[in-house]
Amino acid sequence: MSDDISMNTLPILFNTAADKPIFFYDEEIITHKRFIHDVITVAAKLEQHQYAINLCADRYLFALGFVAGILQQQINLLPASQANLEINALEQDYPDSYRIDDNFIKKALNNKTTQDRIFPEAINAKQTVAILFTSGSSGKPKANPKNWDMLVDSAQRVARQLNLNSPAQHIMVATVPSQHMYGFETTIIFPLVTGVCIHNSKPFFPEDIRHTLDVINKPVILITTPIHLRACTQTNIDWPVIDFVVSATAPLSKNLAQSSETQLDTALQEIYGCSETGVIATRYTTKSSEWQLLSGYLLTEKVTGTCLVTPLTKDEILLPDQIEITDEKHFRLLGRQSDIIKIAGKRGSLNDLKIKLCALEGVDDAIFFMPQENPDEKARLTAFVVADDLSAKEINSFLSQQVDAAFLPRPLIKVKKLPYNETGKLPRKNLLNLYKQLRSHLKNSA
Amino acid sequence: MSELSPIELEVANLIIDSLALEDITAADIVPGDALFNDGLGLDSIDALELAMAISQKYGFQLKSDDANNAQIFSSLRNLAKHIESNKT
Repeated sequence: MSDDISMNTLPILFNTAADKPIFFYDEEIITHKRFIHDVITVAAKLEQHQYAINLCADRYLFALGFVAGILQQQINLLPASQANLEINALEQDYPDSYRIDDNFIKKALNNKTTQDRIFPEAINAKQTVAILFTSGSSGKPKANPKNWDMLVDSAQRVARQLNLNSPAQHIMVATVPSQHMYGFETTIIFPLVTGVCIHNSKPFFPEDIRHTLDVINKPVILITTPIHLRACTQTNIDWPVIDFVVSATAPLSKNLAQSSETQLDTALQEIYGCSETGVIATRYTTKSSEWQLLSGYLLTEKVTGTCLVTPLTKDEILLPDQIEITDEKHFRLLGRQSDIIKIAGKRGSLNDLKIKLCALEGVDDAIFFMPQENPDEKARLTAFVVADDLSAKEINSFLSQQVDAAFLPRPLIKVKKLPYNETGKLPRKNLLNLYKQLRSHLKNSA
Repeated sequence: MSELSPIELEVANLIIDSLALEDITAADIVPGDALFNDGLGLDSIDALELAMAISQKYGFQLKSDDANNAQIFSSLRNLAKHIESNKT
């Protein structure tokens, strides 16, 4: 495969061997030939709109909706969460859109069209194929448009760096949704570009993961997150053979990486990236705390923070993390910018949450903060709220209409006043002290 | 104050401990009320956390392909029933 993708067109499917498996659709094996057939069938049934909001949970059906959309010049919108409010807002922002989900694609597949259309050998490399939305509580989700060449280029570099020597030999199982950048790149773009075979499921509980691996009955690559790894390592399960594990969405501690490798008897690599850029770097967590940049990528220090330059982006992209560049190819992550938090792969702004909460009538003052400092502890937001006439339940039910469930404070503690210091600021130290006091009080009275 | 059976009380305390729901007590959980979303406001991270605690305490694994999964998690009462009939 060539590094040079400055040419004007690119294939959608890079591996053209007709009988090569590309997806597992439950227990059925989908070859390239069958995939192309199904894409053409689905394309005939897509509605005529500029955008399709792809809500498919099944990865195979998602991929069909996505690639059929490419054929129809239709851009997939991938919302950060499936919360109804978020999808409604998306529909308002993109009036020429409609929703596609598992049922829609299944129905389209039942339709016996004549296969008079020829699957294109290549498409315009600059075609915008998807827009991913950066999640969060930080106001309006930010749109991150993806051109086909960006996705292809990144997938090729990532496959090389993960040492997927012959990707087409591998099967992947993932616990992350296809709508999230990490899941989208690994489970939708990877099979198209590198030929790796993807299982359509999204196993959730450790037992689900084991069951999926048993059904496949061949060594797989497990694409997952620190939360799932913690659950997998604390559950007494006999794991089938796992080639290796890839983790992303939040940095793993060395301890959890080590116990994952030991208990799952495998090797673990981590990916670092974000919706704006996709994957940026990888590391073997048990061997190094430094991240290795993808080949051809460059980091530069700016007054505003660390910026990334990739071969296909003209502008520098400001990264949302504090980064220490150690040499041309390596860096350390120092942590998120302090206002920005990340829970369950979703990024939010503490300040924005506060603004949302203070908009509720009866709330006089409020602050959100994250008491946990150890990355292995379950990250949970705490909120202190000053609201004499509202119950915690009322406040929470208002918030649950406004923000993703991951950002709901646990606990939400009502206080008489917030622990301001003499200069009118709320230092973290004061918040932690109050938190510890109230926690022990709550424990004693429980 | 809601009436909890012994197993419901035990599971309620397991939920509170494993999810660090320090602002409520077992007596606050209405056995027939929803645990997720509108009820206790639990989410998918909590479901994983709960699955870990249940496997450690009761020696069996929760799984998604259980046809009654939505029902099992629908309330404390149903979760307690499921645990009682599956624990080892």
